[in-house]
Order: sequence, then structure tokens, then C-alpha cells
Amino acid sequence: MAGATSRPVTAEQRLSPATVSQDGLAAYAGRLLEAARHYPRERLQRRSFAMPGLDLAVWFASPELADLCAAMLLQQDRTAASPHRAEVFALDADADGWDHPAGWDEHAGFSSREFSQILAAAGRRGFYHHDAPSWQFYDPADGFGVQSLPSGLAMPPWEKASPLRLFLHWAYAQAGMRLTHAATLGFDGRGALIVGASGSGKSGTTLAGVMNGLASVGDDYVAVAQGNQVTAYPVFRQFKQDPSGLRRAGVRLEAIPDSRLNWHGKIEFDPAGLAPGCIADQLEIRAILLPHVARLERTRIEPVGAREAALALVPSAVFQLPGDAEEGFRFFGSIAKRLPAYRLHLSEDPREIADTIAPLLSPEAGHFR
Amino acid sequence: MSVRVTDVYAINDPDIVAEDFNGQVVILNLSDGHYFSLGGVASPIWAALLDGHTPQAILGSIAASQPGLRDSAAQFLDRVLELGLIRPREGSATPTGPLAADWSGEAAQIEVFDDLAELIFADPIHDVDEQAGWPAPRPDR
Repeated sequence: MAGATSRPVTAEQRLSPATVSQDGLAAYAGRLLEAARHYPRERLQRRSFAMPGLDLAVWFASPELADLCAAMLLQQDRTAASPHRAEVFALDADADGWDHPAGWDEHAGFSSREFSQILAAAGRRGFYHHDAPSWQFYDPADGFGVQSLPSGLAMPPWEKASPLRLFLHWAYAQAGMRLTHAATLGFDGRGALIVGASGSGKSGTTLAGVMNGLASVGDDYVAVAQGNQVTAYPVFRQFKQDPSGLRRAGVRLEAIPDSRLNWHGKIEFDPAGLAPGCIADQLEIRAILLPHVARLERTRIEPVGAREAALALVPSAVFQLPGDAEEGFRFFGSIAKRLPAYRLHLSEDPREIADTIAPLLSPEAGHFR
Repeated sequence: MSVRVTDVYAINDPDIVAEDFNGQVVILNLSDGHYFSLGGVASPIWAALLDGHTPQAILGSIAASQPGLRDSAAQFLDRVLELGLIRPREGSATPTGPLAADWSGEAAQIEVFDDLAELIFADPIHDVDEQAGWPAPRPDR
């Protein structure tokens, strides 16, 4: 792990240009990473997160951001160290001696692919958020990252339910795992990845399941490992659902401690508060489910081929998270080849949906292709 | 844009990646977010092309086996070149195996998906609606 020593940040290290374009991107990434490595640690608050397969240490300038991450990340109950580690400095312009993030040069144009390619050529990963503006850079060689914000919580509103998401993505990629854009349901340790386009019913299916006796490890992003088997792990604590979806699943909104709508008109909630014990430590993934909101009287199961599963899983998983795209394509393509897949033409009855899914997860039903 | 029938072609890496799913090929363009699904005899044509067989050899083999599929095969080859999924290969190439003798199947098809391309193409400075969240593009674009 880098950055073992602390020393004051020099003027050169703090030098941030007003704007950055393609030409200066790699150098700016290097400068921010280097400045973070030497930022005085005594000014920061360190938190350790025991994530599945990963020990994540984060040095926070903002106590509020530290608390947010502690609330949102779902840690494992373990004492043994993980063989994979990452360290992130979450800094902002309110931190003493840390510059305001540079803006992107609007005249330079912007291509996500080009951005990733420039950084990959320098051995780095990164992301730029234009509105704040803010930066995240990661060096996979030693698992070291920096986040530079204008102020402590000045991040896109959608990041607040899944903070440090990109660092987890890059660290998991380096560890041979992947952060995956998918929901999950399980029973008795076996489970399914639920994938599909926005509005296909992923979150609603997941909520229907957990409210009717099934388990889950997440309804949006989960960590996935594959060896002899495919295993999914929880990463973020909260689920999201709109009020009507919660009511359809039989949830009284009064049962949710904070039922304010988020930026996307959804309520964020801890599913364990509604269905205690519903979050599993892990699920052995035995199938891929492709939900389809069909409003049928009874949910209909249609086996589909590996190509259909791949089309639902792979592009979304690859394009939703920047960096390591080709490796992600191979990783998720392998999962689509290995697992049986089913399209679920959904009814509107959450209990019936859960009862239909459970047999798909039985030891007899789930098998590798 | 048409393929040169005597040329040998390669996948247009590193931006284009492809995988065979039980004989059905899915292709991603990592640079623009488009992805593609090959149907009918398009998957075996794709495999033969990347194995180093020339369009001329492939089309000749199809014409001998299934003459009704030849036109769709020729259109498919032009289409994958036009879409930037392949590029002429430098130097010569020796195919690792012979062409299929039997090309039975449906006409070659390529299905193009652009629902995720907006995530890549969106200019975040001007096109992203903060209420919808990056990287969702504004609905009026």
C-alpha cells in the first residue's frame, strides 16, 4: 500500500489548472494521486470497510461523507484480513491545503471512451463528473485512489446511495471480481441475478421476493466472483423503490423510517428493516432472470438462450461502470454462458412472483450449462 | 461501403469485442456503446471471416450450398464493414480450418442496439439532466 509517510503538500503538488483536457488528463491524474499520497493524514478521519473479498481503507476530509459511507456500505462480519486491499483518499476543497477540482475544458469535447483510454494508457482509472465538478482517480498497480470534490458532500445525488462505487468497481476488477449492475434473489444460499433494462421490473421483483420469504444481496449493484461457482455478495445497504411499487409489494410507507423521495422519485430504505434477515451474506448464483412487466394473472417462465441472457446482462454491466470494459465483457459473457436463464413474464401479485421464483433456485433446478 | 472480396479481415480491436454464445455471436463497440446480435448464418459467416477466409471464398461456399442465402450474406459482410466492426488485416492469414460445407439456416441478420449508446455519446456538460442522473441523457435530446 502506498502513501505510508505523511508530509506537507507542496505548492507544486497542489497546483491545479483551471481546466483539464485530453492533453493534460494523465498528468492531472498523476498529480492528484501523488498529492493525496502525501496529504497529512492527521487532518483526516480513517475508516476501514470489510467488504466482500476486499479490505477498503478510506481517509476522509469530511466527517459527513465518512458517516454516509459507513451508513451505506454493507460490511462483512469478519476479522480475518482479505488478500485484496484498496486505499482511497476522499478529499475536498474545504480541506486545508487541497485545491478546488479543475473543470473540464468545454472547448476540448468529451468522450468517455477516450477519457478511459488516456487513463488506461497511463495505468490509471478515472471518472469526471461535470456538474460539481469532481474527479475520481485510481491506480490499480497499488490499489490507491483519490476523490476530489468541491466540498464534502458535493457529489451527484445518485452517488449518495452507493458512495465509493467506482473505487469498488476498479478494486474488484483488480481482484478478479466485478461490481455488477444487477438485482438478486435467493433462497437457502442459492440465488439468481436479475438483469434487464431500466423499467423491466428488477427492483420490483426483488422487493416482491424479500417481502415474501426470499433473500437478496442487493437490488442495484452487487459484487460477483466466479470460480467453480458464481457467487454474489452484498455491497450497499439500501434498496430503492417508488411509493407505488412499495405499496404493490405490501409495504406500508409508515413502516419506513425515512420515506422522503430521492432525486429520482424513489424511496431509499433498508430492506432488513422491512423483512429482517432478508440480506444474505452471499448467494451461489444458479440462474439469470430477465423480468418483463407483463401484468399477467400468473407469472410465466420462459427459458431463454445464452445470447438473450448476454444481451440483458453484458452491455449494461460493461457500459454502466467506466474502465476495464473488455475484461468486464469476458467476465459477464462467461457468466451468461454458464448459467441457465429465464424470462419472467410477471404477474402483479408479489407473493405469486416469489412463489414462482423459489423453485427455480432449488438444488434440482439450478445447474450450469 | 463494400468489402473487397479478396481481402482478409480482422475484428476492429481494441474497440470491438465479440463473444460466441452457443453459436450466436454478440458484439460490443466499446467506443460508442452500440451492441449487436447476429442471427441466421451471420454467426458462422463472422467466425469464418475472422478465421481468415476471404469474403469471396465465403460467398462462393454459401452460393454452392445455399444460393438463396448469398445475397443476405453479401449484405451482411458490407454491413459489418460499414459499422466498423472489422478492418482489413495487414499481411496474409491462413485459416485454421476449412469453410463449412453446409450453410443451412436463416438469412444472415445483424440486430443493432443503441439504447446504451446514449450513455457514451452524451456530452455531460450540456446533455445530462441532473434530475435524471448521469449518465441518463436529457429526454429532449
